[in-house]
Amino acid sequence: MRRRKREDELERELRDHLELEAEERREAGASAEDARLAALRAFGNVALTKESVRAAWGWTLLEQCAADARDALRALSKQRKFAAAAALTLALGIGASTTIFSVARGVLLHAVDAPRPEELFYVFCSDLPTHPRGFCSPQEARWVRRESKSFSALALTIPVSALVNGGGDPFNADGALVSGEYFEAVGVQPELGRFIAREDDVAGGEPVVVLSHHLWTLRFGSDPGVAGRPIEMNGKRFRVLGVAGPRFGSLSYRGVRTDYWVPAATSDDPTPFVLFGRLRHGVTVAAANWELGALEKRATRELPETSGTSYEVAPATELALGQTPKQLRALAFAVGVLLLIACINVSGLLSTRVTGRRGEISLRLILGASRIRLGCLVFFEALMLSLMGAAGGAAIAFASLKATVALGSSNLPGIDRVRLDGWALLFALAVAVMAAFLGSVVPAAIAWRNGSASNLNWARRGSTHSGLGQAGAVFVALQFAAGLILLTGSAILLNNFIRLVRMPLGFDPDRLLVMEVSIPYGSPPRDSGFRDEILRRLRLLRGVQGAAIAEPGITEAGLHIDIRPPGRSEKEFPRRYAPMTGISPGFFQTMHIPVLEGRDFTVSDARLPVPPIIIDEGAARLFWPNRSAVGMDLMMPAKAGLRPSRIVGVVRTAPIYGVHYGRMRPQIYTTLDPEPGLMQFLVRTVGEHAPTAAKLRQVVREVEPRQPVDSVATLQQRISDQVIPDRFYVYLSLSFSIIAMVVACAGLHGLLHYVVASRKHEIGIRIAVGATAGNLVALLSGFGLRAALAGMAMGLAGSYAATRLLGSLLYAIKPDDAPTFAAAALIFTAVALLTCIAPLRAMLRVDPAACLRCE
Amino acid sequence: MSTSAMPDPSPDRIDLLQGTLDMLILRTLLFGPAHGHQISRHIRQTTKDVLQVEHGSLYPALHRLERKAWISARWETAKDRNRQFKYYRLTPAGKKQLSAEESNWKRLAQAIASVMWPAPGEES
Repeated sequence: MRRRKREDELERELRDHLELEAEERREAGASAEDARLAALRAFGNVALTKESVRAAWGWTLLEQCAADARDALRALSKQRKFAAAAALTLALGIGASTTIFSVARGVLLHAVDAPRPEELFYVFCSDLPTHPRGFCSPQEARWVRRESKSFSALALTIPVSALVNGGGDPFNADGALVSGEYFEAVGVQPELGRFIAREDDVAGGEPVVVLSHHLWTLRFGSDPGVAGRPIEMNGKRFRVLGVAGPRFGSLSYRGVRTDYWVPAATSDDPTPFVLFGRLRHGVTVAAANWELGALEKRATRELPETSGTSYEVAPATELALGQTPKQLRALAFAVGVLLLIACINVSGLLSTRVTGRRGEISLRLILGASRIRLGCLVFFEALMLSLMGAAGGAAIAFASLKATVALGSSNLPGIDRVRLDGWALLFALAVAVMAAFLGSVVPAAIAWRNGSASNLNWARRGSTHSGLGQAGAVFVALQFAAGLILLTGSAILLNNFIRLVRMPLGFDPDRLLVMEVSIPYGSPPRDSGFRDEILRRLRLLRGVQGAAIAEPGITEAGLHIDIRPPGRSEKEFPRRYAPMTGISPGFFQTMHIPVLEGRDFTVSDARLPVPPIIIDEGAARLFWPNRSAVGMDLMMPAKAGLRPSRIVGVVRTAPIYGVHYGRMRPQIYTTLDPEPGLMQFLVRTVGEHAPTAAKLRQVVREVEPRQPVDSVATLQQRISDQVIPDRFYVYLSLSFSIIAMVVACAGLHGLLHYVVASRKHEIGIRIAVGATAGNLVALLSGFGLRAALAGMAMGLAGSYAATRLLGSLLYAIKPDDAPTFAAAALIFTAVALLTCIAPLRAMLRVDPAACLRCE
Repeated sequence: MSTSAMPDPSPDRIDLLQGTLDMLILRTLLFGPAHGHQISRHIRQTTKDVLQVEHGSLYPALHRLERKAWISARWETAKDRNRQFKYYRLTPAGKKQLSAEESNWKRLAQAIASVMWPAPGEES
């Protein structure tokens, strides 16, 4: 705009001049026409004058940038292949990083639906350092709530579950007891009705309940009139107070959805609690920890019955997210490396170009271009490439986000809300600018160094000047190092996954149906008769080979207990937590787990005052390495402390509580608890007339019409559901590392091609004087291959360090698994060698005669 | 119609020395604001047609001086006619610059003169 005005003024100024000049000549006696022409002649070239004036105006920064950008575009459009390769590389890098950025931002931002979620914390009480995140006794929880000054609102809460009647069939729901401060601490508004307030949380108060959005839509058809209506939970009537917002349920510290909230004081049973609250504005976590540390000491004096407890403050968001931030960090690291490789690649490509344009750059310098300006030129070329890359990257991110959301929907909280939004695009843009800057530093340096007047004569001749050679070799080495780190990392993840899936289960998962039935704590007690009756009827079904019960069940993390043979000291057998599973007789037969020694449980075992136990061979070897475990005792938890239980059998090890635990822990089998809680009915089917899921549900309904069935699935399905998160990360990291490998090899390919092209002369002469193909390969390998190998050596060392990041994500493999490292390096080498074929062929095709003629 | 390549050929014309134009413009503006045509006429007339300012360099020079803030420009109505011209006037910075260039020029002229016409007795 300003420029336009200036142009107009210049035009007017010069016209005025010509008119005045003509006027003068008319006054001197010339005719009007002659005077006009004479004035024009006297003035000379008007257009040239204007051009000089414009030069005098100088350039504004913006105009200079626009001109540089135009220059860069023009230069790049002449080298489409080069530009496309570089832009594609960057698009992959930017696309991947934008995807992870969006996922991370979406998940971390939406995981907890509350204002300033970083102020929300849980406080746990633990009496053992090995047993963190323990519960606080009611007295202690109330005492901490009263005494602590760090929180603006501190509530007591504890997860519970209930059998709910209302809105269709009875069903089990996970909920929480919360004290009156809970919703105040969270600080959100209900979707419907109201939340539990302090006045609701009084002993003997009216039983009220707040429902989750999920429960409300699923069971009450999103009925707006639900508030005020009574529902029955565990056989007791509750009045519905209100409904929480759609995302409220993910605040649980266990990472599971909470579907209802009940005032803690109206609960009949004294339960332990954890504390949940919002830090006062301006109070740091460290300050809160310090205060709680001081309270710990006071608690020892003032609360004699709970001495020795330590308080642990944990951020609510972190607990709600579980492993996710760790996994996202690993992925962010991977895309960072990928982006770095892309930058190095662009750097290499631009360096090649800069070296090739040595003559032009020297000329520019001679004609007065400043070095800054030269740097700008290189930067703008890089920027043009990275902006194209950003556009492509945004498209890639858009597509890959859809795939990612689909893949990860079941295990990442909030991922369904992830979108490619303005922030993501801004991020892509920022990454592009940063990549352009990173990518143009080295080429600009090369341009500065090479662009001296003495280099003008290089312009016309191919040269053996090693200006790029060294930089290029460093680039290739770095790319290979980074690429190999990624490949090794994802190979480890892949290998972990494969081993996880292929792990010998020790039981036969085929044709096995798992039906989950649970009786919530606090619901009217049921005797074990109905459990036995269901099992009896299941065994009678057509197409059923065997049936058994497991509590809490397989592919569930069982109850972990501290085990030790009686009379042995803690020194001899350090604390060790073993999963404990209650089973019915016939379990091993149904699961096809061989009993190695001793016997299976019998029906009468469960009725003994001290029921016997069965252990797996892992446990047997651990405690009695040299002798039979049958007939020995292990200390087992009972109502009053520990008591020795007799071992009646040893069975083959089987990771029945989930593949992630592998064979890491000794396993203890006990008889079923006389009071049924969570249970799984395992049904081994056979033949064409195997019962369906509906048939199993019907059996339960026939025995106990009011008992809900939580789920029915095949064991295969349950196992593969368990590895969904692993599969998700394997897919992502593998695709990143393959991209990285391709990009790194593209870098090598480019360098080799450049070497061949720029040394055509030398190669021609060498062939003319009788160089063999072997000599030539050796020559070429001196440039790219050596660098590639050096890079891979660095990469292996780097992998050793980097795969440690994966440690907590690995279950079946060590992070420095040597065969995996070797395989990754071999694959990388093979791909690198394939990359060399085209440049090698180009080199061997060099026609010595043609080359010498050019001289 | 004349086809002569050189307009208004002046037999005694001398090309301006590089760098002196700025000084001449600044000096001309010392008399008061003037537009481009007036400046070029003034230089021509005061040097009795010896110095002919190329318009191709006058206007770039004016704009350059304006950019350096030695002169400022404004569209003003001329006294003798009812229309606006772009008038240039000297700024304080321009005045300082003029005196600096003037003393430089004096020293240069003296130096040249002492080479060209050495004082008697100095010639060996």
